[in-house]
Amino acid sequence: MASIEFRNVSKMFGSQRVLAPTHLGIPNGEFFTVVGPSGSGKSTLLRLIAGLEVPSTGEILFDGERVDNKPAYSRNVGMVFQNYAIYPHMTISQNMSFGLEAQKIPKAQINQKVKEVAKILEIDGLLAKRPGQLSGGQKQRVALGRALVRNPRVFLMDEPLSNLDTQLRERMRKEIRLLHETFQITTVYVTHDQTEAMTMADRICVVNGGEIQQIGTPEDIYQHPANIFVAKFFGSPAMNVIAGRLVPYKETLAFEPEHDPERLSPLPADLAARGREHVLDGPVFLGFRPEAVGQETSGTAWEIPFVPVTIESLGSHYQIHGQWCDQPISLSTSIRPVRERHKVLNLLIPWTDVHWFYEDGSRINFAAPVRVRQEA
Amino acid sequence: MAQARSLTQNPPQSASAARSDSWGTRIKTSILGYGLILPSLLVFLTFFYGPAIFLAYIAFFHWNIFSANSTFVGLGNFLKLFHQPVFWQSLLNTAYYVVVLVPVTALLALALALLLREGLSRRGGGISRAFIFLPHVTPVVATSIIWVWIFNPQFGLANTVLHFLHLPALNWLESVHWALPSVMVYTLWHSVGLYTVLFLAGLASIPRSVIEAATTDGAHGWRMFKRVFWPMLGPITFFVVVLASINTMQTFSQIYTLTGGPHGGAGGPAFSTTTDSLLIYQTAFLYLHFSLASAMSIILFILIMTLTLIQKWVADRFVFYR
Repeated sequence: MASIEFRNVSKMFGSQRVLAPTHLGIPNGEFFTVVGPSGSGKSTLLRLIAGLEVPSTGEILFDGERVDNKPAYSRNVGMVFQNYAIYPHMTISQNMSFGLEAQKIPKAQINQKVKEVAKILEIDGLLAKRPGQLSGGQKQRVALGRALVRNPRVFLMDEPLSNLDTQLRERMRKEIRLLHETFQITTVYVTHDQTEAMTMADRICVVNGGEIQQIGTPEDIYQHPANIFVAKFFGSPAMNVIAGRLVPYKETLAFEPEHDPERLSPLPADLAARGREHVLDGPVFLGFRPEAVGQETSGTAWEIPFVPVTIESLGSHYQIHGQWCDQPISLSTSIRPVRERHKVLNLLIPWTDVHWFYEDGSRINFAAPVRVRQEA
Repeated sequence: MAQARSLTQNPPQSASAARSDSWGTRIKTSILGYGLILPSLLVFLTFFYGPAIFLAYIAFFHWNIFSANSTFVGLGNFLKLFHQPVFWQSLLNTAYYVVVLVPVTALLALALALLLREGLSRRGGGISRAFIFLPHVTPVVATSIIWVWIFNPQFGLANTVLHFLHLPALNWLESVHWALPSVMVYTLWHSVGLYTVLFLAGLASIPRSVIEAATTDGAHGWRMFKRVFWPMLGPITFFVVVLASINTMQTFSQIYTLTGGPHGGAGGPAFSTTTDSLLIYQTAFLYLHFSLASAMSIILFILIMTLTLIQKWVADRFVFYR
């Protein structure tokens, strides 16, 4: 078990940058998920920890001890691959004891450990079989067991569940989380699935284009996304983001949407005051989550017109997709909507549930000191 | 619409049609099929199976190319062979040649492939691969002549190298003991590239994630080779050994060129390089004993078959990864 630290770590493949200089600290025993779209550099980050890639700059430390100059075979990491990567020519028990044999542990002790872990993972009946005889879910368990049995310093998982069907994936999600609670091994878990990242992580690291966008707890990331990318990446349907600008309006300020400039939305007094400090009259993005619509609020609300186009029932709730002029808007509600398409509705979004973003996509944090804007 | 309707109505019609004249259709299809393979079948029958069958036929006759009357002698040709010391000598030479050359070739090719795999990602990796493969695309007769010069005891490169290494000079092709090993050296040089490329393909077919999993499992160097590469190369190793065995058993051109060439005397000195394919050639086309040569060919065929079957039996027992 170990803590992991990245100091200014970057990775180039030829002239292509796959990971920008990165600082990162993962405390001992944490379940840390790395999430991002394909090609975002999340797997590279994991492979750097494993030693399967060498960083172009910077240092990687386990428990304060430098490991980036150590080869992968001496780092004692347990890795689980997307395609399981089980040794096809060995039995399951040989697969699981392979790593322990390299550590020169007595045979009897190896057998005992393998049996122990196999029992926890409910694969003790498969030990004599060969990988070809196993189902996908069983192979996944073997891959987990093979990494676990060595009691590695860190546990690395590269999209381990993406080859499984939905039901099995949900079950394995819980089991991996439980295993983590039992063994308390620092785990870095790479996935492109935001649900997986949200449900499993102690902390999430969002990566895009080789750069870390935000690191935080699942709640933090959902409630205070650092930028539009993070805001839209989490939540389904994605956050509605509307481009526009703040313009003077009577005594106060109003939001003028780009796609419907006629419709000015005046800001409540306190927001206007802070808005003036932060953005003045520059372009701005307003975002709201599909489920924010129609929430009870003691304060004032943002009122927008909405034409529903499709209504999807998910049993427990409904997803409604429609438009405000030609701006697509998605809603999520547990109240059965009136099944009347193409009729203009008025939506009320509490101003407290509205996320504000600068022109460059980064979050406007009204609580924080005013950001100095660079004038052109 | 009309098209759609006809599409939906057609199946029952065609089904009944197929039932009523299924024989006719089948025969028509067969005629077309046989017609299409006929040209290549004719070529094969005329130039491959035909002569092969004819060869098997004359092996049991006293057959002469200059006279029409041939007499049936049963196993007489085979018995005659068994009483000729040169025949046994040729079998022994061939066995020596195959038993030494095949393992050496396979091991060297495997070693080169492993080295190249390490190096391929680095600069010059592709060039080294081309460099190793290049001898295999050169014509055997032409490069054999170059190696005759290399093996020249007085001014050849081979002895220069030995001298540089402070080793005694050899008589190479002129020595009874070293002539066949000289041919082996040439054959190794000429063929190892092919088997190296085969092993490289085998290595490339091992999933990268399996190698990476073994790496994170603490395996490297010899352990990685023994536990991951070697077992997973099983099928390709089997293929390489079979191919190399068949190729070496049939070696002819380089022995002919290196040890005598068109001026005669091939297979020497003192029959030390007379392998069975060379003996077959000499018996048939130098001494014109076609029946004897045919009998020898049949024996060679049986030997190659037996060896391959033994190898397959071994592979089935020990190559458990497919």
